[in-house]
Amino acid sequence: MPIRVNLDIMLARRKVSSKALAEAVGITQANLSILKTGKAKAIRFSTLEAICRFLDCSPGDILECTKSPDDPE
Amino acid sequence: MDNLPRIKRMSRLLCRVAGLFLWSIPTGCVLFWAFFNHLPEAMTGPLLIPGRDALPLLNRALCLAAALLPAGVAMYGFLTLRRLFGLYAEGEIFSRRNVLCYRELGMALLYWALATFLHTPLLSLALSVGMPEGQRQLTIGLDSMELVTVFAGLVALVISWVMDEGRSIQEEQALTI
Repeated sequence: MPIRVNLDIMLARRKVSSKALAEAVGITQANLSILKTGKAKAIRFSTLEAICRFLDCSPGDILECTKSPDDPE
Repeated sequence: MDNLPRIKRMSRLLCRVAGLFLWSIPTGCVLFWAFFNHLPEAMTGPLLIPGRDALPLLNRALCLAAALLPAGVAMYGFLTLRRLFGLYAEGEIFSRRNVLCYRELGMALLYWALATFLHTPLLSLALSVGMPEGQRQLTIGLDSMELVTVFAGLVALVISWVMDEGRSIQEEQALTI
């Protein structure tokens, strides 16, 4: 069950740039890019909370659990 | 991270010291056996077979060859230490390269114990080559130092495994946003 990060979609919906989000959340653009590209191994609750607060959304709007072909039916 | 400048500073120094040892060991070996017959008796006495006051060139060359076995392992150890402290000097603390250095250091210590164990019989043979039959020697010995070296080698290997765990934690930490 891989977790997909839909941050790009939320940024487009809210018409917010990555730079603005990074500054508002207090992380570097490089780290935000790691998060957006799905390379991150974990996300802190404090980061998630800051993102949700800034984008006015819930964690489920950003993180999505997808089925992989290896998952049992 | 307050320790990082101190680690870098000290590591730069230790990197140079390891480099110094790296080259002084073979140089020392060559000089020792080249000028063996001119050295004070206090240095050469324990190695000379009774009745001999000088060593012929063949014996000295063979002794040097025997000495280069542990010397080579020691050089490998110091080369590894120089690389490790070089990484620390650059601020690289928990990386795969550091882990490899610790692993190689552990292996170098184990090889060192084996090399010093083999050095004793090889040296005794090299010293007595050319002696009449019945006066040739073969000495075998196990020193407590060799056991301590094996212990230190195993400790270094365990440290390398712990370092590998630290590396994976740091990698995970770096990818935690």
